[in-house]
Amino acid sequence: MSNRVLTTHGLIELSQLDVSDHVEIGDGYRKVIVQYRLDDEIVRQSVFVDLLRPNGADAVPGTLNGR
Amino acid sequence: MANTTAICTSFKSELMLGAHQFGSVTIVSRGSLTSPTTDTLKAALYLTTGSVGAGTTAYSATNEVSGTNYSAGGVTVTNATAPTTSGTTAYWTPSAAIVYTTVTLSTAFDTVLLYNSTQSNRAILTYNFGSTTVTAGTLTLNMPTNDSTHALIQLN
Repeated sequence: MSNRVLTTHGLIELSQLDVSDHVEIGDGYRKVIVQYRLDDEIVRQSVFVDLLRPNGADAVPGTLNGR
Repeated sequence: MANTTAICTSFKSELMLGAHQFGSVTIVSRGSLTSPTTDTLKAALYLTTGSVGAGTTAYSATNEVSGTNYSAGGVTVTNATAPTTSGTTAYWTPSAAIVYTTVTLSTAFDTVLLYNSTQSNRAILTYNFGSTTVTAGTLTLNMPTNDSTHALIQLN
């Protein structure tokens, strides 16, 4: 069964591609970057970001303070 | 139980629902005063050279990303769950991930702006997730759990 991936060079068999992923953790996010390479050229890169930090407004009596 | 000083929790939630009007503001009609429609929210991406943040008042195309399959203004945010409360916290989170499908965004970007496209593109929040590029792929912004400690927007 053919398993092809959409890339900057059109649809390419997955078996022809080197696939790697790495995780980047920053302030308020965790990011998974998935790269597909064809002869060392990145022909597809997807990014999945988990947003981890709430955007709050603390309300002590009488105020709504952004943080 | 003694009387206490507090911002009422229901008020915090109702701010997000637009139930109070302390002053005059020009809004786009929501169809009915007594049973208004829900506004449409959108999510736009900004280059690392941009300056969106707390001072941003509305969507602007300045420093917005551009690239294959990305439309100016970004994508619509799924909003199927109304703001709610738990304890003294009111909170809200988009009810699905924000997804940009099969895009090529070659110039580094790092921030998403959520804004109200129904109400004159008024800004809601910005979120910086680090410098990112996408090549013929998908950018997925997964939302946190919608509860009083993790929700994307919390009024505490």
